[in-house]
Amino acid sequence: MEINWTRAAEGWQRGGRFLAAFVPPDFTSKWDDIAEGLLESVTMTVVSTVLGLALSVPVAVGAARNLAPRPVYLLCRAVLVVSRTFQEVLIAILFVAMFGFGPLAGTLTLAFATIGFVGKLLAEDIEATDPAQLEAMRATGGSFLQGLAWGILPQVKPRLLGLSLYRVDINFRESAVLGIVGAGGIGATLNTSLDRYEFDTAAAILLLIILIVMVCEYVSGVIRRAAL
Amino acid sequence: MIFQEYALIERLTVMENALSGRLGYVGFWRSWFRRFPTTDVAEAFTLLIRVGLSDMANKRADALSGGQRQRVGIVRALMQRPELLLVDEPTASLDPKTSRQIMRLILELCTERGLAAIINIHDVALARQFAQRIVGLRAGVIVFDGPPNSLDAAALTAIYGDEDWTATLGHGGKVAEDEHRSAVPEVERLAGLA
Repeated sequence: MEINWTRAAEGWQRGGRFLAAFVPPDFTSKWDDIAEGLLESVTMTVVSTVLGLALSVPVAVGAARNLAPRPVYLLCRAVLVVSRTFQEVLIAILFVAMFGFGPLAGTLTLAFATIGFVGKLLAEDIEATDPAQLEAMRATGGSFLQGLAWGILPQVKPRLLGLSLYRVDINFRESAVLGIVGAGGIGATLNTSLDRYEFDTAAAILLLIILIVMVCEYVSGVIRRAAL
Repeated sequence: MIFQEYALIERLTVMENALSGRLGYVGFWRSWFRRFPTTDVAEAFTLLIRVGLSDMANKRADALSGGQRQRVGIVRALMQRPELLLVDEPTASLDPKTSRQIMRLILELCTERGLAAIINIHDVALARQFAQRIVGLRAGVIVFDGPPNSLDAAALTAIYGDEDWTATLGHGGKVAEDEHRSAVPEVERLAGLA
């Protein structure tokens, strides 16, 4: 590889100018776009996390060796593998092609990725549960579902809560990336501002993303302390 | 069924553990929202008072001591209104005094309710003290069947194999004081042979 030292030296200057263009951040001139993008991202985050969790819990039960019969186990493991194989951006490109530009494609992408993430880790936690508690619930005459709700859920609840809160965090951050491939959210707004060389607006968006992630972190800490 | 090592739902409260004995009689959503019939809740309270855990109802099971946990296990089993109590090594991880308290409690409750209990236990002294009938199994075959005072060194050797049994039996031939009318057979069996 050839290194052009003059170009590398000039690069530092260019980089400096690029960064300088970010200050001061401009929250006001494109505020309506920013607010709309943020709201879209938050909506995508909430919907995709709820949808993803609703789907990942049954998949996790199916992917737990101690609960599911072999064919169900293999099927659910296959779903998890497919979900985790492809990076969010790749899935988003596919969904954008399927459902068109906009937050629908992004939301489905994040929900799909949530299944792989929560499903796998929850399945492992289910496999590590104490079998005696499930056995006791079945022995009292409880159905399979009651066995899950009483014999398994109390044991995996802290993990499920932790994973869910962490996934909210991830889904919000990912929603900022997915906009770049046209899947909606604050990422779309960010991408537009960068394309227009409105670096001060981009800076404002980045600061707001950081702020929201920090708020997420704080809220998840509060929920965790309250629940456990 | 009363379990070895209790098998309680550790993260649920004592009351929830007691009510879990009714799962077979309550629909999924009722049990999910903890909407058990008031008669079940009243029965759970009565039993918790009976075993001396009335002020523990809202404590989590993992906050209890071994003896207290097994009492919850007993309450859960009785909540099913059983006709026969299956008891698997109820004292496996309890100290000698607590073991005797738990065995006595099981026996008293069985007498009160006219219940029979089949207890699987390896503590010969406990079996002799509390059981009315002892059945010894070896490799799935009954090798002893009789009252506790007829369980002698020869019988123990037949059940477990050669060993010096004098200390095990050496309580001056003190025999279980059984004032109970309920049939409480005792099953002895070798570990690992179900």
